[in-house]
Amino acid sequence: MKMQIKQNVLDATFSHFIKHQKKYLVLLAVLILLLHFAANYLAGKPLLSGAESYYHLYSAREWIDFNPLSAVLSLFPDSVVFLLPLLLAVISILLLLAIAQKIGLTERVAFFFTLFLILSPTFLFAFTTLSSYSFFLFLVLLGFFLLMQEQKILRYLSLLPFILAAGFDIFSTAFLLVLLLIYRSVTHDKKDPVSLAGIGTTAVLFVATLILKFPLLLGPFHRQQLVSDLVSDFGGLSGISAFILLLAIIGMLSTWKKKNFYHLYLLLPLIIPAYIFNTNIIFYLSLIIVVFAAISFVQMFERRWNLISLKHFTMIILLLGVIFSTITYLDRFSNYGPSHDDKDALIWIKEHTPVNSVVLSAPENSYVIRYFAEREPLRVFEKGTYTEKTELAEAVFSSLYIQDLFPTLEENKVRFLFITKEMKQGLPSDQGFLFLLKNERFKLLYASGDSEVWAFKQENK
Amino acid sequence: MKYKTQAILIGLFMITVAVRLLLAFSIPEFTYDSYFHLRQVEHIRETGLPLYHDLLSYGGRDFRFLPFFHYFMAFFSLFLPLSLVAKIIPNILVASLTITSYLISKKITKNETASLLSAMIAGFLPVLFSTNSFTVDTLSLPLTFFVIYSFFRIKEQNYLYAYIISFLILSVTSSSAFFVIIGFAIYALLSALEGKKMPRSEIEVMIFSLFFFLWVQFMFFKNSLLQEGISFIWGNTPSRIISAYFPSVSIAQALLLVSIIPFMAGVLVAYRSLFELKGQKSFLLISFVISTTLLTWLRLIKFRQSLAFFAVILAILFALFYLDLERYYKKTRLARYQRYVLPSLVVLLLISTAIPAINASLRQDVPTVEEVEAFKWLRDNTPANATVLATLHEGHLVAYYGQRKNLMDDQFILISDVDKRFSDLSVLFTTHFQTQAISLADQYGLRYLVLTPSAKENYDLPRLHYISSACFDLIYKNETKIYRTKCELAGAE
Repeated sequence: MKMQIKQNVLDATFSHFIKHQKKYLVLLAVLILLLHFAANYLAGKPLLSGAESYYHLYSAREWIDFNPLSAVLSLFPDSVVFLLPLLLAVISILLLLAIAQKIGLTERVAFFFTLFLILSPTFLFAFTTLSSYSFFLFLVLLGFFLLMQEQKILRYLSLLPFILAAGFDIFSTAFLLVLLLIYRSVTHDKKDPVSLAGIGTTAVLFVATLILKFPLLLGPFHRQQLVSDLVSDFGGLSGISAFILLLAIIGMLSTWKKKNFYHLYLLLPLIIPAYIFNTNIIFYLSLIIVVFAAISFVQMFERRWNLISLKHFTMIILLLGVIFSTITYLDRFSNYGPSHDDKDALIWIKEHTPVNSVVLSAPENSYVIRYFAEREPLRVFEKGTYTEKTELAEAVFSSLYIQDLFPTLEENKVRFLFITKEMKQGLPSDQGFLFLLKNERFKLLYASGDSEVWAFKQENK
Repeated sequence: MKYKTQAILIGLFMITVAVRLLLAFSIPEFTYDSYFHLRQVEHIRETGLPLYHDLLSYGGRDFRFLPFFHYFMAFFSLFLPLSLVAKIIPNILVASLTITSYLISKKITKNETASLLSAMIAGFLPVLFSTNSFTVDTLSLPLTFFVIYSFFRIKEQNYLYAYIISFLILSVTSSSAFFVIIGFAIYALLSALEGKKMPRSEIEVMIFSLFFFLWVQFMFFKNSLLQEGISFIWGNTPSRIISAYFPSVSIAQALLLVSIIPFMAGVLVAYRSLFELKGQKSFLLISFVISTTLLTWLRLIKFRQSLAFFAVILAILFALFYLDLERYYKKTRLARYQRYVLPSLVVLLLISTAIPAINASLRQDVPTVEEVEAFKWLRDNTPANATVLATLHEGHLVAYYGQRKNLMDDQFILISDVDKRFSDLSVLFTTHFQTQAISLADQYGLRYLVLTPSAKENYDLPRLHYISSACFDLIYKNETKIYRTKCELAGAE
């Protein structure tokens, strides 16, 4: 009897949340995202974190490496751009729920999918920074939402977001194309001209991205780690919770032979190799993982257990585990740069160094240097030259002797060094690069907290 | 269970306990790693809390470990001196594997004689005869097998609760609950491959176990996971000694530690069983054999830990081997000598397990009394904030007996410069250059250097090469020597 009451209470609680899911999910997303911005504001940091944010802001300002997000950003003043990810998050959640309803996804699966997505570090990272992935998701969701409408005009309007979504990189365009093909095969409406037009347009754009030599993938914007970038609990920049990953594996095993899900499996051979190539793909991969996790969670929830208390306990552990991962991530992400001190040091560089100076720093800081200091960084994650630049940077930061370090700095015309707290934590202080700063040819010019600007005296030849 | 069987089983358990205790008390000290746990238990008894912020280890550090074992032992130490608790309770716990092995074997074979043979083997496995070891494994291993036994009887309500409680305890005792999780995963996979429908209760407890285990790991090791990433699995062990902790499988060593007859029999049974899994009662155990082999092969678990787990499973599987042997024997012309088979087997097993087991116990890696005296001397004759150089193994002795800071010990978790420290520690023992040694001593604030006979053997040293009376005072002169540094490098802070 007691068990029955407990079961009813749990069901009633979930039913309430599921019934009012739009309100609760949007509120949750807004609260979490605002919490991050508020933490940044209170710490005196720039509101936007992450290298990618500054890549897009710099592109928008300088009109280089243009993509749809840069285009939109160029319309906004810099002081309000932080609202854009927040706005995109809210609209994307609403679109997601509307699409879920349209395709007949059960309310429970839709609720837990969206809940797990909001709580995933990938989502939090994408929607607290200026990310091409969050904008891509918004465009794709908008496109499909319009495509599913009854009115022809709205359906034709879907081509617009699809065209924009195809303007980022080759992989995203291919991904969109596959999604449209899946949509067409699922709807069984072979005569539908709009989805056909969508496929046609995207296919043409896909070829165009190849001809115009778009990057295969935007980025990378951070040092890639295959495992940590997948599981956020291992210290990756985004990723997903280990609980969600395990739930997804259980979900995959339980849906393996169910034909409704084979489309999702079709996406995996596309995404997994791409993830190995570039871990930025985690955004797409996590969307699929979260779908399976939600299915798995709902199956567990709906399953009749022999021991009801064990079921409750497992459900609570699962939810606590996911929330625990999210809180840990938010706590960690609040320290992610650029910091207040970084910004001050970079502005100092802008105001006190010659315009054509080359600044050496960690690759993650490349776009921040370009944006705030308006100087050229030595290390930059650029298409085509990534490996070469990384090797160069590795050589610099692993130098043990000035005989190795100085020629490299001279050859690359490095005049200034921007050292952050993260770099100090990551590099040994008693040997290597930081130790070599004691040499007389380096001079500390400016320090703000743990951020420092050093000058390197070039030898007059 | 028949009265006679019950009496034999209790007798086996008592003999095992008696032999273990006899050996434990014949050696005065504990294994090197035990001193870490002794300190923790003492701290819990005094303050009620584990020592998560240790001022002596690595000269002061924070770390995390699962504390149930230490609380469990601290409870007993309220009634008995810790030195007694640390010898009696772990040996009783390990000896209890005889009973668990009997129960699991009985569940699989329904044969009491075969199960008693399994119990006998489990009681005298050489790999488990580290009688002076006061480590978490002495609780986690018996607990793991109790969890497995409860799982075998999961359909019975009482055992379902027994499983849940024992798994909860295991999860907060040792990360080796991972064995159980991986074993379950292999079990589920094999079941799916064989088209065997798993009972609903089994699936439920497997899901619960997986997420509960994961949750506990995250709660305790959050920082370690974030700092060390995937290396967390290897406990942040320095790369230079990782092969010593996670070596590739050596068949010769395995044979020696598991003992030859159970090893050969167990491997044979496991191999044969792989091809006739359907409907087998040993299905779950075979899954554990596969998971242990896999994890050891992938170097994801410590060699001795996996071997201990493996050895007990093989001991249990021996019961199946005995049944097969008996069946086969009956078909041969030698059937009339059948009454001699069991006694011969008992004698053979005793020779192949008990003798190597006693030998293993007598050759445990423990400090000598003289070495311990030297570390105790440190406590009374050096400043309270002094940092002392000793080998990696002796790090806990510096902290436990000497109550002084060590340069490093084998608790590597959350130490960011562990590789460098290990390298510097090796240099401090092996370098010929005084300036290099003094520079490192300055860097770590080392003022006392302990050179024990074990350290000499470990580094193959007659003495520290750089010692000179100008810079080092010999302040403790015995087989173990303690030096005080007098020099500092010019310009050193």
